[in-house]
Amino acid sequence: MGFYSYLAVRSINVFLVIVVTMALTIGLFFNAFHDIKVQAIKDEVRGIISGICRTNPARCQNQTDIQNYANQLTATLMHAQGLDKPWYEQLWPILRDILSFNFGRAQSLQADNGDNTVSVIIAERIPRTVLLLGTAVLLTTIIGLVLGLYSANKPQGILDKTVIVAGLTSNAFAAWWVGLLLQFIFAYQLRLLPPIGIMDYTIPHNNFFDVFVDVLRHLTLPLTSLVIVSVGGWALVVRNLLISTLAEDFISAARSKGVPERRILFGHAMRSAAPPIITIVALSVAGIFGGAIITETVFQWNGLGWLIWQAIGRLDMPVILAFFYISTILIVIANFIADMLYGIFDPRVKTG
Amino acid sequence: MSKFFSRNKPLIKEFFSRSFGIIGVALLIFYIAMSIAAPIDAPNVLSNWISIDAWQDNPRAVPPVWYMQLINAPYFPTITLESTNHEDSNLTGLYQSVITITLSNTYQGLPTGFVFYITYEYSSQVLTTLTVVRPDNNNITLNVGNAISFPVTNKTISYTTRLTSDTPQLKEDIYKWLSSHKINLTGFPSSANIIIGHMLFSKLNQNILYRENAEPLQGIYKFVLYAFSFAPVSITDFKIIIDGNAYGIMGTDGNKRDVWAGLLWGAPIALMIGTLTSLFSLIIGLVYGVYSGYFGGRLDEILMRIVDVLISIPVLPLLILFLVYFGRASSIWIIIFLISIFGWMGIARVARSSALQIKGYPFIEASKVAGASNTWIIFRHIIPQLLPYAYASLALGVPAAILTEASLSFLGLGDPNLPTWGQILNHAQDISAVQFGYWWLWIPPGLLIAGISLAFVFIGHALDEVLNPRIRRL
Amino acid sequence: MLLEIRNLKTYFFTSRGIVKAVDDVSLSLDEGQVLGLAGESGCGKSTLAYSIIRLIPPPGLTVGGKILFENTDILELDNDTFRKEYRMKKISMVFQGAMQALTPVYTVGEQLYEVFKYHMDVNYDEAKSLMEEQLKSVALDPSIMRRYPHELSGGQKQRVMIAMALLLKPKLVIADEPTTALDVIVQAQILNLLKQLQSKYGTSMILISHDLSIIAELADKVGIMYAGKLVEIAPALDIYKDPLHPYTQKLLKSIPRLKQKVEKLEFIPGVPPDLRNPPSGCRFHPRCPYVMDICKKVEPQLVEIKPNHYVACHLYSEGGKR
Repeated sequence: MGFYSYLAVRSINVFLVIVVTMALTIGLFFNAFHDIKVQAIKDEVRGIISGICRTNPARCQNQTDIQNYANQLTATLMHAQGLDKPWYEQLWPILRDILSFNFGRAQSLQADNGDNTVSVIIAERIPRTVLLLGTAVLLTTIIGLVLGLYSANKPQGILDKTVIVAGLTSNAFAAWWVGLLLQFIFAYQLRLLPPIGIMDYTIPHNNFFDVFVDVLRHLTLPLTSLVIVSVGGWALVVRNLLISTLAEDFISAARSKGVPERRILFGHAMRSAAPPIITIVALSVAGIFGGAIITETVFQWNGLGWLIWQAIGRLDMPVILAFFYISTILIVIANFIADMLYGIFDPRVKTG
Repeated sequence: MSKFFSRNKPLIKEFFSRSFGIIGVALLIFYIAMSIAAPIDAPNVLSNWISIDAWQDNPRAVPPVWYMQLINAPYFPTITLESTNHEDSNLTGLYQSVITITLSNTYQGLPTGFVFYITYEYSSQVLTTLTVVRPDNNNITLNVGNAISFPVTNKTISYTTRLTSDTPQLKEDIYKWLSSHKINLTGFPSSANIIIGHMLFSKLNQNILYRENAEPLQGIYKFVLYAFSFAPVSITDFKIIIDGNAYGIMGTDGNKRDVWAGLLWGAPIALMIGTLTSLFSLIIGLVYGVYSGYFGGRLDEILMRIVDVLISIPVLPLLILFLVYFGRASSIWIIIFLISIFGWMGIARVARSSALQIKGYPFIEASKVAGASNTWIIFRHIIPQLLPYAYASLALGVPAAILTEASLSFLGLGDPNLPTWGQILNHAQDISAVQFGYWWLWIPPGLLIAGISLAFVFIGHALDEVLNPRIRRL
Repeated sequence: MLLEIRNLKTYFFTSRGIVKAVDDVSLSLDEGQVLGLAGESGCGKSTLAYSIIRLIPPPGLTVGGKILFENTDILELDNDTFRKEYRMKKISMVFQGAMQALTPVYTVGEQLYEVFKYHMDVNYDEAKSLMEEQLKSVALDPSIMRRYPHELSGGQKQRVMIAMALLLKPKLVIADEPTTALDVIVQAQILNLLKQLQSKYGTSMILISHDLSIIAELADKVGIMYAGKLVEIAPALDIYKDPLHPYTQKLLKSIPRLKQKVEKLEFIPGVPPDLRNPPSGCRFHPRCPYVMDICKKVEPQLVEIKPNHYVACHLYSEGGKR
């Protein structure tokens, strides 16, 4: 199997995941989708009617008349959008909407500029979540690699024992609870860092550097809580993988060739352990994402997580649906990138 | 059972030779003890958790007593005084009943409120007053009778009434008491403007008006309750609850609930959620994986493709979606069901690869030749071989389930009827407990979640090392 | 004398006790000589080999004895000197289980070049012709340099390993089970190759195998190990014609021979002893058919019974039956 056929298989998987995600979304929420659209039409009709009444009060004298007119208008609009058709004929328009990221309008949530189009709200939040999640994954990966590497190099040393205990222990903590703890200590007690938000709009930002520092100050606590809970387990995984790699014959063989220890560790062992490490990074992205969603609500980090919390509180259906769909796609993309890296690092895939 | 122990003695011995195993089991015993203590120490809490009435006599969001002692802060604990020791008398047609409760107040702090429960047996109109005899002799007379609407009757009935520091008549009486003692009430045009919860136990001076300024008055207090009637009357029960600025072992939450009771009940619920969820996912994963591996071929291909797809969908958003679909306040059973349904894929993968290996063993061939059915082989030969892996997986699945439930509860998608630790944390977040320093609302449940997860992580780790020395777990 | 091992002790310090994998072993090897080391798995023969090239994995440690290589005690050298000056240049190793001895993520060329890179100042292009030549000498096409290990057959991998081991023309090659996990025809090819190259370069070799028939093909001198001890060492012919130690006798009888009629293949009753707690006296006594009282109490010493034929057995000491 060559690299390209490998990529093709992975792409089929991505495609299937997206199809299943869409099927789930539509299957579970067909009624919700329908209601969302009907509601949107009703709102529109109400707007038109009140417009008429404002400009031409005489027409609004007769309640029955105006109600009939409203019903008629609603029926016409529903027919125009095909909402009066049987469900199987409405499936395709919904599918088309999802494929084009058209999730309609939010029921109560808004974007920063007041727009209530779901895709606009989501698009605005994605970069913030990617900033938090991406930095967390990156930091976790790097710190975990270094810790895992050094503890695997000296099994049963102090660092190694610490990594084993930390790795097992950190599995038991939720990132958001650690977030609460950090928020309590560093924001509310010591007042070193801001407790919530992404930026402090009350202070002037003169240049990009000011913005950078401000965002960094806000990012520190949520980021730290995500990294703290993931890094231990991650270092343990790296350690275990490396220890079993270091026990392989080819490591002894390389040593017998007179290859220096640094090159053994960073070259032979690390390179050989890279493919499984990449797989696990990819799998852990989804886990860290789960933690990030809730950590965002703790720190009111205005990304997708904070959005879903707001949406759940208001039962804003279009936003919840879009969130599920978009976050699945984000994770799938992250996994796909990992798959490609895997293919590059594993010669068994590369050369086929 | 004893057979199990004798057969596996070396393994059990090895398990307990590992410090992780010992710590894990010790932690687990702690949580089991909590689960046993819950129905004994806090009965009825499970059914009353979201009831407002059940908790109305407690102070709101106060810390534990020991904490106030520890930081050496002036405190007044929440105390209940009760007496049924009534003296009834009949003075030429005027019936009288008196009940007295004495309290020796040595606390440095001030209470936040009070509640009186008075039970009468009467058959005709009753007049009652409550005199609070204070150490400084500035006694207060509360016309409690005016605040009670006695049901009209002509035969002897029993009636219980509840009066609190928010009852207007009592505020009125205190207002009058304050003005008659030359307290300057400028800024407090009527009794509705004053808060009286602390006043019974405060020194009578200008500072009494605000609880944060008021000075506690120590000494012997007497609550003398009189009832008069032209028909036989007796006060059969008089109960005073003084709401302090501290409560019990773990304080109270924003809905006045006893946090300790909630934390206790959290243990059996968490154990149930964890073990059931882990067990269900294990069974699904095991059977699915073994079928896939055992039958192989196209079926295997398809089944594993399904696993590939399912494992790529992020679980938490999926759970959020489903729980919103089932209605926000889902029952715990739905949550258990959903977490199991989306948690078996990893197990299925391992089970499949093991089944692939085991099905090549000669004894499987032998039973096939002997005419055993596939189902028989799967359930009698292959799954038993996987049990060592299954035990460890079972233990390691528990913390994942508990943490997931806590996360969902924290997002407001849990079962609100149950005092799970996640629910307590959710409530803490609702009332900004971290910001306002209500640490007892969020630190203990968080630590309990971490502790129970650690118990299973450690047990699972030790089991894994003992039972599956060769399976490298990622 | 090229190599002389004196009273070598290599122990493994495990959490459950000390495993004396090599316990007080002495032997010597002349230049150009091939020493075969045989014994059941776990008898310490591989540990002995790893001790020579100083690759004992933790928790193992060489705790006593001397390994004199060209009269230098290589156990005294610091790690860097040994790595740079001895490994590959003077002592090299062909590994057991050819399957995993090549790093899966590097090409054959990269792995061959590493040998040059860490021992002499040559760049890849300069090394290339040498590597190609070496590959040809083990009957491999030089294009194999661009391949990854997973693209190679087991025999090819083992040829690469042999080519690598001989790249710098070392004085001593240690071959640890070089033919296990290969099929019979490939085994024969590899053995022939080793034989050829050994005589071509005049390299000394220590050949380790559980299989006495493989050792018979190559060895000038054969050592038999049992439970961490060298129990018999003699010229190859002597061992095969006149084995003295009861364990050697049993070991030889358990080999099927092509030229003889198979009457009954013998096996040695009992299991190898637990090296954490070896039997008292002679370690073979619980399984020995000729066991005597003295065997349980006194450890026999290696004694020269015939010229160059040493054996550690009470049967041949004074008071022995024979």
